[in-house]
Amino acid sequence: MAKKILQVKNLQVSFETHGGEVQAVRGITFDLHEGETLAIVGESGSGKSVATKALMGIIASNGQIKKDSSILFEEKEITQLNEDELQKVRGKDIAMIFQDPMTSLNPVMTIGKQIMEGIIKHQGLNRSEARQKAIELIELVGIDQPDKRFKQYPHQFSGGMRQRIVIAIALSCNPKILIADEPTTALDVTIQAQILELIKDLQAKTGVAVIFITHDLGVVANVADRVAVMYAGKIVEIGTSDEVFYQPQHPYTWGLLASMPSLDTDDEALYSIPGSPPDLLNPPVGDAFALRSQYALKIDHEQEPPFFKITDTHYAATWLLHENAPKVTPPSVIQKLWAEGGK
Amino acid sequence: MIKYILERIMIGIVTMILIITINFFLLQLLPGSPFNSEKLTTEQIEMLNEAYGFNDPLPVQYVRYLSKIVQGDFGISIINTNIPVADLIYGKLPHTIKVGGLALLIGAVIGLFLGSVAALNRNSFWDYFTITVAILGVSIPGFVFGAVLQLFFGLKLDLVPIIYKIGDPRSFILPAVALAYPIIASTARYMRTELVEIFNSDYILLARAKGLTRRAVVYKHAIRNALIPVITVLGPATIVLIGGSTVIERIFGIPGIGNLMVDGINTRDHFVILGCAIFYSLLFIVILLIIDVIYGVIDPRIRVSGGMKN
Ligand SMILES: Nc1ncnc2c1ncn2[C@@H]1O[C@H](COP(=O)(O)OP(=O)(O)OP(=O)(O)O)[C@@H](O)[C@H]1O
Ligand SMILES: [Mg+2]
Repeated sequence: MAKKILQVKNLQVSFETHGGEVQAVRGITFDLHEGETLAIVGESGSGKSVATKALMGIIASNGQIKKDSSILFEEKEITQLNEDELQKVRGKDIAMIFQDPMTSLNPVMTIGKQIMEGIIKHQGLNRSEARQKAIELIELVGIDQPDKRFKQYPHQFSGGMRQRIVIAIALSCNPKILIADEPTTALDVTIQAQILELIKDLQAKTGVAVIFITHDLGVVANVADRVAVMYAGKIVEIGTSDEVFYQPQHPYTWGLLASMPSLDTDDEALYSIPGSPPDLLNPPVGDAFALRSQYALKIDHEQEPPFFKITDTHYAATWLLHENAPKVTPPSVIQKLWAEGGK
Repeated sequence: MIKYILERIMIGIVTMILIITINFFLLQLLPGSPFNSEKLTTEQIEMLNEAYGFNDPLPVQYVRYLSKIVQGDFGISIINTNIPVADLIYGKLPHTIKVGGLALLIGAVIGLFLGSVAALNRNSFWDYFTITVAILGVSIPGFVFGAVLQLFFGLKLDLVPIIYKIGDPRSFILPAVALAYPIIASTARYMRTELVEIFNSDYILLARAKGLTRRAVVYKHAIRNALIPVITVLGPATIVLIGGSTVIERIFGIPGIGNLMVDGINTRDHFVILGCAIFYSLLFIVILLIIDVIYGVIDPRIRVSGGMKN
């Protein structure tokens, strides 16, 4: 297996608000290997964006990475870096693409300038060299007439084109990690596919490792080598794509998969997980999903489940995997998946 | 862009005609007459009314007035022994422009500065200071503030003259500050709100994610975007200036247009009132036009939609 370039251990992020401390990320641990794509999935508010912003040190000013958290990038402990050192990592080693291309570009600065900024800062090129590089990048992300486009402003670009530009900016300094935070959610379906293709294509060319955040499990199946499922600020299950899709173990993963439209081959109405995610001001004890789960055991309400190892790459945090747990029958769609996956 | 400006000028001309018309007829509702002196007999007043054409039917007076304006004749002052209104305004103009221009400059510069500092240092001393200034600015009337300035900096500290003196630049300071004060308040508040919102925007996050320094993020990305909506404040600010100048010119004894107009109203000096109103309206329209042009220059989105080809 490829080298680990990022090791996240027990990452905790909290926000100070009028209501108290919002524990948005509550101790997540995962590794990222060179060149791979790790998808992070989970409902809205589960902490996907906060966790990944923390990796670059760009969480909102009322937020804080708690002590005991560790983010090891190559040899650097990101949580210990000061602002100056962080600036050298941002955009150069770790870059990010955001959800809404309509708002991610500065409306009063030319596209060219916005691409050049990072190049000048990180690569020590002079203006004309940076300009050359920016034009090459515009071409690389599949936009015609790069010389003309270089001088234009964001409002002269469509949503899909703007996302291409944001991707060009992200890849301008050959980062080792690209964080894509729902990069296709705001685009219409045909454009979504193009942007996904572009990311996959550029990843193949550059070997950048990608953390891909999404709600869309269909996209996950398409792009990810591994999948982490997040719920209420924690990772509840992590494994290879095949493992998470065909041998899901956590009831929350079951719920997510069962509510995927393409899996709903039966006549019954589309499944949706009952209830809503817990309040992160006062996160519940035990398994945070227990309150919404028909498979919850008594211990789920009392004690937080540890990660149970299923294979070398597949882990899930549910007491159902404990040797003394009663055998439960997952929903029929999940049983079907298990059967397909050969379990 | 040229087409856009021409369009604006056309709209401006139509607006001016409307304003003149409305003012002309509204003035008829003003009770009293310029010939109110007790020394005049009824026959004399009648003669004067006849001489100035006030006995003609209103529509006749209106058409006469309009056709004179087209020739650049704004009528004559009845009280100031028949000096043309245009000459009167022209003579008072430098004082109003000097103090008003200085006020606009002070208001915009200090307002933008305070607003930016406050937004950059939320919940700091300067933030609370700015919020306080903004609240006081909308709640304390200009004449009270002007009087306080006179009392404190003029009388107590004896730093600057209390009364406007022609040719003494130091005497411009207090009236300009008094006039600028509400502009500082509104500009600062607006700039702060605008910047705070922009700091939460995606493109600022992207700028940070590029690894830019805080300085670069603030100056190259945030401030420039914040300025665009803030420029619109300068329109209302001019109204504040115009309204304020009538009061402030009184308090500081500035021989400007504001004073001319107030005197005109007090003495029912018909054409002076109309002339000043037209002057103020014109000033306002011109400033709005300038704001529109500035807008087009700094916001590329306007440039295209407004018909300017790049
Ligand atoms: N600046 C902040 N102040 C307070 N709470 C915050 C702040 N930013 C995020 N949160 C909270 O942290 C939690 C996680 O938010 P996050 O944006 O990471 O969710 P997400 O998984 O990315 O959701 P989505 O799929 O909607 O993007 C949410 O409950 C959110 O309300
Ligand atoms: Mg998010």
